[in-house]
This record gives sequence, C-alpha cells and structure tokens, in this order.
Amino acid sequence: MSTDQLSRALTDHLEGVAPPPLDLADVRARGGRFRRRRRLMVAGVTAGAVAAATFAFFHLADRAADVIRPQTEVAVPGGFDVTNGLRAVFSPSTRLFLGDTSVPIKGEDFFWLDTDAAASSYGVLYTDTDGTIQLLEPTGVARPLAEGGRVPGEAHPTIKVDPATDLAAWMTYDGGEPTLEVYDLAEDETVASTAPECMGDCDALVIDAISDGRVLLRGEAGTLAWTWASEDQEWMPLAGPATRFADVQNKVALYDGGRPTRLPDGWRAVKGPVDGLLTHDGAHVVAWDRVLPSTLPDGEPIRLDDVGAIFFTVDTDGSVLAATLDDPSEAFDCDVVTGTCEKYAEVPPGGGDPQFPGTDM
Amino acid sequence: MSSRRREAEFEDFYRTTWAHLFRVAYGVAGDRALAEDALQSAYAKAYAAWGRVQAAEQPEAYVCRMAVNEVLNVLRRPWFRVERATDDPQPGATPSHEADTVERDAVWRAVQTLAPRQRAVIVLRYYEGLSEAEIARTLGCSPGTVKSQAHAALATLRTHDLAVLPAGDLA
Repeated sequence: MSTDQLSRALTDHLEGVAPPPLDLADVRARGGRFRRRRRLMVAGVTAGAVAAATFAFFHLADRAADVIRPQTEVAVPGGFDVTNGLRAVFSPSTRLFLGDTSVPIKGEDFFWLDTDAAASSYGVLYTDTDGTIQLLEPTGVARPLAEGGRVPGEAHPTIKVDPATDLAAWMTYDGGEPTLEVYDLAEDETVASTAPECMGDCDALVIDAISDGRVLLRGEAGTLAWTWASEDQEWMPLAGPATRFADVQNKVALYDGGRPTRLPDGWRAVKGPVDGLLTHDGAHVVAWDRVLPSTLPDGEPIRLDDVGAIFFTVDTDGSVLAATLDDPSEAFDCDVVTGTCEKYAEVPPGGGDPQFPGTDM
Repeated sequence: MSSRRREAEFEDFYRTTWAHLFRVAYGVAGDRALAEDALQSAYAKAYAAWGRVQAAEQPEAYVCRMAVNEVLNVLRRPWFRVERATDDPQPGATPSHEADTVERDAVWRAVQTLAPRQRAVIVLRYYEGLSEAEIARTLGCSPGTVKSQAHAALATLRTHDLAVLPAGDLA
C-alpha cells in the first residue's frame, strides 16, 4: 500500500462517518460562559468588605465549599506602560504599582497578588479562583489565556515566565488532574501541553522554572526537566527531593540543597539561596543584598547603589528592582551594568512588607 | 460590524465546518463522544473570541487546532478509557467482503492502534492534507517531532497485515 492508498482508505472511512447533529445552542452556552468570565474582570463591580486577598483562597479546608469569586474588577484604569519594565510592586491590601501607574487595592481586588503570580513583559499572569489562567495586560484589562478547572485545595499553581523567549509555563486542573502547558505570550498561543506524571501527590507539583526549552517540574520524588520540543517529549530527572531549583537563566541553574544529579547539556549548577533569583544572563545572583555575587568562581560582583533596600527582584527587562522597609517604602529600578538605582515609587504602608509579585523574597 | 452580523457569520461558519472538523476530531480521537465534546468546546472558544479569531487567522484552522489538542489532552490522561470496538460508524451493518472495504476497515483499525499523537499526525497528513509545518503548528510541536512521529506511525502500520508502506518521511 502506498501512502496515496493510505490516504484514500482513511478518507473513505472518515467520509463515511455521520457527524452528530449540530448544537449551536450548546456552543453559545459554553462560549457565553467564557465571555461572562471575562466580563466579570472588566465590569468594575466593587466588592463589599471581605477578608484580605491572599493565597489562602486556594487552601479550602472543605473541598465541597463553593469557589470564592472576586467581586471586583481586576483592571487598571488607563492601563500601564511597560517601557521601563513591568516594575510590579505592591503593598498588601493597599496599593499596586505596575509600569508607570498605580491603583488602590480594595477588598478582594487583585486577590491573586502573591508569589505565584508571574511578571512578564506582556503583563502579569495569575491563576483565577476557578483555575483559569489570566493575563493582566498593559491595557489594564485581564484576559483569560487558558481555561482550567478548580485548583485542588493543596495545589500550588505557580506560573513561570522565561524572559529570553516570552514563553510561560503553568498548570491547569481538570477534576484534580493537572495539565502542564507552555504558552507563547508573543504569538498568543499554546506551544505545548502534557499531562505530567505526578511523582507522588498531584497537588504537590510545582513549576520551578522555564528556560532553554525546558520546564522544571518539582514533585514529592524530585525535579524533572520536560523538553517539550523533543521527539519523545523527554522527561529528564535532575534531582531528588533534597534539591530545590530557585531559578534557571541562560543555562545556569541556581539550586539549594543537594547537588543536582544530572543537568541538560551545556548547563551549569550554582549553589545559592532557595529564594534567590538570577539575572537574565545567569551571571549574578539576586537575593537579599545590594551586592550581587557572580555565578562564576572568578567573576566580579555587581554593586548596586546603597539606597537602603532589603527586598530585591529581577524586573521583566532584566534590571533589578529594590525596595526599602521605610514608611513609606521606596522602590527603585537598578541598572545591572552601572549599578545605578532610580527611584520609581513610594509604596505606602499596608498589610505587610512591600512585595514583588512572583518573588518569594 | 454589528453583533447580529457577527452572530450570523459565526453560525454560518459553524454550520459549514462542523461535519468536516468532526471527522478530523473523530479520526484523532477514535471516540465519537470525545470528538464531539472536544469540538464543541473548540467552537465555544472561537465563539467567545469570534471577532479576534475571525480577524487574526483562519477560523477553521483555529478550531481544528483547539479540538485536536483537547482530544490529545484527554487521551493522555491515565483514567481515560476508550471503547474503540463500539465506535464503528455503521454499527450492525453487514460486513462487506469487497476488497476495498476490507482494506479500508483494516487501515482504520490499524490507525486506531497508534499512540494518540502519532494518530493525529497520520490523520492530519493523510486525511486533512496538512503539510509538515502545518501539522507542527496544529500540535504545538516542532516539524522534527512531526517527522519522527510520522516515521514511527508508518513503521507501526507496516507491522499490520497491510501491504508494505514506504519508510521515511511523510509522502
């Protein structure tokens, strides 16, 4: 049989299949649900007084309880400019700074502001209460990128972004079953998806990094690297449960705990703080100090201006954001070449220390 | 463009593409219920973003991509069970002894034994007529992956009692 004959046989069979009747009403109903979810994010309905917006929404003791939905819009009137990086910083329950603007945080507004949201050059990514992956874009409006089922009570729906490629990795859930997805923010489409092995409790899966064509997925048994574009969707074990990868940038893997047992070709491992980050070139570590140590044995550290900052993160454009613990806190954008820091915000005191979305510090 | 006109255009799109896209989804899924549900979900996503979908790219390709990937996502899950033997398009029909019909049915059964992604590659290439690059875009993988999946699929099909299929790249 030639491939032409294969084609004819397959075509003959499938053309003989009678499709089920059209159901436009069902399509409209399903599509309407998608639209209503988006409209809730845009409508700007103000909530009543509710508990402070924290990640505790996902830790429901009673799994039969209704999903808590925010009543407020997740929107920034007028949008925000990301020319100088996203510059995302917030004071819990008080004010959120994005780009060149800021908005007050009221009630359940921006409930998703926690270390599991992810800053990107396309906006802020977060997981909605119903498991939908949302992108708060520079237009100031949130848009759903992926539909997901309810997040299991103990799951940790971390989202990670690779600044080198603008690819994002996240997990959605369907009946408690996770799907790991890679999304191209620039092309606005899914690149790859898979149902990962849970390596123990499915609720314990965490995405630790996406970089160099791989997603690092940590479970109870350890960390695996998923190469989504490989011929057989390769899963490479990198380390056991005693290792935690803090960040991966430019083939440099920052880890804490036991040394990784294996790394992809060309990668190198650097031991560092579990809550540290790497500069986009992988050359320096950003942790709790204005002096950024080099990841090379004989490399020179970067010394940022001494502005009294104790909180640090890496911005979407590769600069380092720094915040003080003053009242109000001062936020700075620091150039990693010159070390010069420019103040860009005064963060009013609120329900806790100033925070950078997506950063564990 | 008025919303009424948009609704009408979507309805027309749905009616004219449903049958064909169902056959593609069914070819990949091998299960009518799964194919129908995945395809309805894909159309719903297109409906929810119809203005953008219609303006930005080929709507039919968009729906096809959403449906095929939804099918593959479901097929990968360990709890999914597929009763392929009950999914004959003409259950209860008297088996034909015509050579073409026998061969056609044998090909279909052999294709159903393929791994989901391999089956998707075969259906998209030999039924839908997509190029390697178009298949890669639909499945969200590299052309190299499409090539290797096709190679593996054709190798598997050759192990069945079909006449020899050529080795190598997609023809």
